Amino acid sequence: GSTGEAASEASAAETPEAAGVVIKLSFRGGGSSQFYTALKEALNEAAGAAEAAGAAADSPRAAPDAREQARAQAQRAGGGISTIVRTAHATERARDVTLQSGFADLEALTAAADEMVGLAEHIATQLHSPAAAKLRRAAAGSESDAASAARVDAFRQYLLDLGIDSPVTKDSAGAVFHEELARELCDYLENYVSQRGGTVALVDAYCLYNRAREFSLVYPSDFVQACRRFEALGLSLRLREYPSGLLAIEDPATASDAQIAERIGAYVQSFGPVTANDVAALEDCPLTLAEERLGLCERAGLICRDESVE
Amino acid sequence: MATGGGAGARFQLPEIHSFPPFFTRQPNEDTWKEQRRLWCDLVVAFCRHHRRSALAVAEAVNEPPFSNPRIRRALRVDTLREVVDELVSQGHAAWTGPKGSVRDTCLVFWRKPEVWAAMLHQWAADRGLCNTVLTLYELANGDDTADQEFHGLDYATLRRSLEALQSQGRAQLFAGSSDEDLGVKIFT
Repeated sequence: GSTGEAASEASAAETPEAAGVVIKLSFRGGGSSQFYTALKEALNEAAGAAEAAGAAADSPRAAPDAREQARAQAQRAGGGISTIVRTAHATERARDVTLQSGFADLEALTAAADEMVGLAEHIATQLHSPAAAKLRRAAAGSESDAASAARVDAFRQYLLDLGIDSPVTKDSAGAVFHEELARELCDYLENYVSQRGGTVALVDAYCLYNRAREFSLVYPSDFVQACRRFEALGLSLRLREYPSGLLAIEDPATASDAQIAERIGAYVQSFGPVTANDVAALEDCPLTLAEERLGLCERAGLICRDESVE
Repeated sequence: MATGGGAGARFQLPEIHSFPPFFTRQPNEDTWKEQRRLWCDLVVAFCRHHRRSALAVAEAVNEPPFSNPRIRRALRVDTLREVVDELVSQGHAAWTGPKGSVRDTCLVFWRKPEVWAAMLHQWAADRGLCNTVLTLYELANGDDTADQEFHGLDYATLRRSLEALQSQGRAQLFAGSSDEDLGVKIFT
């Protein structure tokens, strides 16, 4: 220990905040640095104790006595700043916990989604495989063909809605982006096109496809460029431009101009004059496509048009 | 042969006239050719019935036969122009009006000028009026021609017919102060 006279002056505090004691220490025999270290430690401990005391003092308690109130206030003032710091720390810790748990949920979800899509694709390939076809034929006796065909169609629709796993992007395909995109498009759209009678408007196909791609959308220009490559790549679909400028995706095998023209001609013969709206309803196709089909029939010389202000 | 206008019998419009698309210029070329042919026949027949030759395209589309109020359809002006153009190429019409102006007024020859020319020549020869100067007025409205088909023919068509005769070398025209005064000498 240090031997030194300690002259203490206790100045009485007039205001509670200024309550303090001044002590002068003189070290005649040295030891000031050790004392300084010991003092610092003691002060830190005291600060910690004051925080704890401040916490106790913070709890809302009605202080009936004014002096009691003053003392409590003094303690609070002393621990005020540290309380703020402590609160900030606590908030940050709580936020961290929330974030961690939140992201943990999301990770679990995406992991599950990947699994689901993988499973769906696996089932899809199984559906299309020859083994499955054989099985279907074998099972034909147990349930009606119509019912099983309906179920298969429904399942295909679910697959369409489910989306596409690992879509083609510029990053993944690079220079052959449009070719790869064309192949993916053809795969995806084949069913849809054949369901819609062999022809779909380009805009409808674009919307459907982008919806399936969900997060990595395709630019319209890229979409059209990919479609233009169908023929060159020997794929089953074609991009067709009608005289009016309308673009459509067609399956040449199922959509025949002559057939369409005949069909429209038959409508006119049975129903009399038909408008594009009528044709759209009869053919279950968009209005723009209905107009094109009427045009086809007109160019074939099977029908004539009636234009008026009505 | 009737010399008055078709006042007795009403002009019989063909069935196609009640077919609304008949009044729409068809984009399909083959269909249009057929449509145009039918319109040409209709125009000539109509003019023949009413012994009318002059046609103003812009006004004509507002009246029958180019408008059919019953089915609320009318031919468009440029479509009628196309029909008249076809008639001109067949020799059944001629555009009148100043050169270079928009084609609006025309003459429809429900009988070709060459045919009139032959009839005029025949009449002159029969009456022994060859080599005498006759006026248009005499030919169209004279008592001597009362029983002729060309009696009452409009001056424009009559003039063209005489011009045709002149170009065949069978007549000579002399300009007068007006169309009525126009003189012609028909040779034998």
